[in-house]
Amino acid sequence: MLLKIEELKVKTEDIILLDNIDLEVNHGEIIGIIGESGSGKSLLAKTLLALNSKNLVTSFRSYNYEDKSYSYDEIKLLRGKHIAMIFQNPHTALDPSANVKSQLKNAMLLNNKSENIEHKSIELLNEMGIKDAERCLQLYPHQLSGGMAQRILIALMLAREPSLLIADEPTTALDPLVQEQILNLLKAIVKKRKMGLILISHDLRVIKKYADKTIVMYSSQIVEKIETQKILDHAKHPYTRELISIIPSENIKYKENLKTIKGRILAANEYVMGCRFSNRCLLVEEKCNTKVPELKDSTYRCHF
Amino acid sequence: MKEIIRVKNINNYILNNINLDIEEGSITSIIGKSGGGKSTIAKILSKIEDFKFGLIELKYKNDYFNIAEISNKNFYSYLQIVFQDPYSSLNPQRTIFESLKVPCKNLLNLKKDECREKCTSMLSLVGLNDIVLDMFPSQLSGGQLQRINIARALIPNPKILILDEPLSALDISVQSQIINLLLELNKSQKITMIFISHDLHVVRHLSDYIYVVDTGSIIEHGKMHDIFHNPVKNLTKLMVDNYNSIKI
Amino acid sequence: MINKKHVFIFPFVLLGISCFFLDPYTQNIDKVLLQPGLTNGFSYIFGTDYIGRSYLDRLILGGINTIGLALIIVFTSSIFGFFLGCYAAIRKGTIESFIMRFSDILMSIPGILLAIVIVAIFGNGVIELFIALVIVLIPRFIRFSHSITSRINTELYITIAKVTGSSKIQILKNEILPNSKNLLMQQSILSFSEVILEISALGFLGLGIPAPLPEWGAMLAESRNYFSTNPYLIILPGLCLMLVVLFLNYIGENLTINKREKNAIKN
Repeated sequence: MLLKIEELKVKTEDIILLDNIDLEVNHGEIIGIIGESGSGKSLLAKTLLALNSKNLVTSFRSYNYEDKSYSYDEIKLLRGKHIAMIFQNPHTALDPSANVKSQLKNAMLLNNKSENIEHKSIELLNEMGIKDAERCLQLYPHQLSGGMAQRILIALMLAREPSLLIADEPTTALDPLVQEQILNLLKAIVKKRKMGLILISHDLRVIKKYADKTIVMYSSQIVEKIETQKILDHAKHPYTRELISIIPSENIKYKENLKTIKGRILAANEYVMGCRFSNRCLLVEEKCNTKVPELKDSTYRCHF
Repeated sequence: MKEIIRVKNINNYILNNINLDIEEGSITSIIGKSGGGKSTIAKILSKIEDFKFGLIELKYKNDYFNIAEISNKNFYSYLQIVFQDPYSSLNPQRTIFESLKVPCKNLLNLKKDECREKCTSMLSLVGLNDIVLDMFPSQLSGGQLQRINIARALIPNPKILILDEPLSALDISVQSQIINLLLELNKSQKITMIFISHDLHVVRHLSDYIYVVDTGSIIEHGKMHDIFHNPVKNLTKLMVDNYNSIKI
Repeated sequence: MINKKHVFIFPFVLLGISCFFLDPYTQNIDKVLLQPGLTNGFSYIFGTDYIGRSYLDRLILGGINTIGLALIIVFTSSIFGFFLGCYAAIRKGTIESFIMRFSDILMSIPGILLAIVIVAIFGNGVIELFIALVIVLIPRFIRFSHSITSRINTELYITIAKVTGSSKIQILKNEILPNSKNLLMQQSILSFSEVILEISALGFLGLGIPAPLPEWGAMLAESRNYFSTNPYLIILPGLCLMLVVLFLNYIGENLTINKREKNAIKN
């Protein structure tokens, strides 16, 4: 068991931004988190590495990494060496004034291994699927395409040999072919090195193809946890089912109007008593507005 | 002649010999890898970028006119464009009404009170309340802003609407609403649409005709059904295979 | 904000009214070098200078001359500089290069030196001083508006403005000006105190506002010989200069902070 978090909460004064998040990642496992704007998924990513700004209060029942318990202040010791993170825009994470070679070197030196750095760098770049590694080492970030930059960023993160990688929308800005390459790469690395990967996306198709388990987030809560291969036919939460039904799949008649989810997501300061999806749910009844549904069977949060 | 836009032999620093024929009332998609030239085609068609060689003609009342000879005012009353990023298309220091007023005055010559009316009716066409008129872009969501951008484009009653990745920056649940809006506009107002996207689910659902672009050239084109079921060129095959592997 | 504005205008109004009652020119040989104090009546509260002119009146009118001239200089430079810079950014090409390189050349010469040269060539006088300091100040505004306009021009909403039928002038008025207004104000206020110091420096060198018009820098120069016996002759104009510059910088900073807070709240 690589990472296990129980009852993670993040709030600012009286507004709850993350509500009772339970998460578990095992070696060699890819956990997909799907959510739209306002679901709290990006905040969750940052919280896992204790990167929140000071005005946010984080609390949890337990945060266990490799069977060892950590307090919130101790989490920062895990950054980089044990838990790494990549983001949507690789260019903002790379130092624009240093070339790939020096950035990789700096990352490797942090591991206190100074022999064979150039050789190891080339190996790492090859593992990333970069064919002309020698030439690539000399390039600067602005000379890299989006896909290349993301690969370099992944290489930089892996140079420190972490066990867990958090990827927050790593391919959203890339076209589908490059997206496929990067995600295939991530999957291969994770399986080969027996790492864990938390893959966050708003695109259900990506999560469905790559994640072993899927977590659906809505309004700061986890509303469903399910084995990914079961998601199309066995999803239980109304939001998950609607997310699936609004994709223009081949089941929907050509040029026919798509189904939509009526209403809009509640902002964090608008949360009411009861289910936060109730204003948009087709199954809504009296009890939905009065009582917050619990996570049933640890799989989905609904009264039905 | 059914074509509303005829593009012949366009060449510039990115594009090589681009030839397009856009059928009136159709939804034509342009797909391809990032950096391949799709957006450049959109910018050239909308006179935002120049080209050195070639000819682009628009059909207006049974005659074809070279776009270089059409005045800006007439041109943008006929053809409009919506971009990917809903936020940066609007001046952050001005209210929505102040931004929407501009085409009302410039392209339709409306007076002050008429502007307000027109903006309100355009907003309701895209499903928004006129309460947003006095708000600033930073107060609104991406979905709302993209709808405003579409409303802005529809103000001069264009016959052609170019949409450059209009959905990429939006949540999935918002995308479905915008897709329905576009379908509606195409069916009821018969607006010809040129849709640039790399989301093949959406392209497959909307398009009548598809052009595939790679490194500045059109490598393949055909009816949607043919492209998806019988792709010929490598890139097209790769893209269709990728679609098939993740399709829902 | 309302209170600050009132404080800002009040001293100027006071000064403006009082200059009708001032007489910094009458020389009284029997009232030479009086020490500051109340013994000789209110109009000699700051004493007299080496030829018997009321120092109070000289200080006040000197202030009005200096600050007033600085105001006109900053106003002219900012307006012309702003539009030149915008024009350069919009036109691009050779015209842009020409304007920008020309302003680079002007900026590369230290301000005081350039002003001295111009005044030395064309002679002493308010008009010559005005021209010299405008030439020194204008490049800064050209650069500033050029960089803002160039940056804004790349924004998507400018493309959209074109697509909605706006002409270049409309774009300037509707999109560029609102975004640069605040920064232009800040830049102007910062330059204001600099120009005041430059006028005084030139006055000190005898190249500025010509005698007998009172001017703080000139007053400092005239009083050098009397420092040991009548220090107030030097201390007072120096103090005035210092206070004015501090005051202007303070206002400039507060305006910056206020606008930033406003924008942050708005967003």
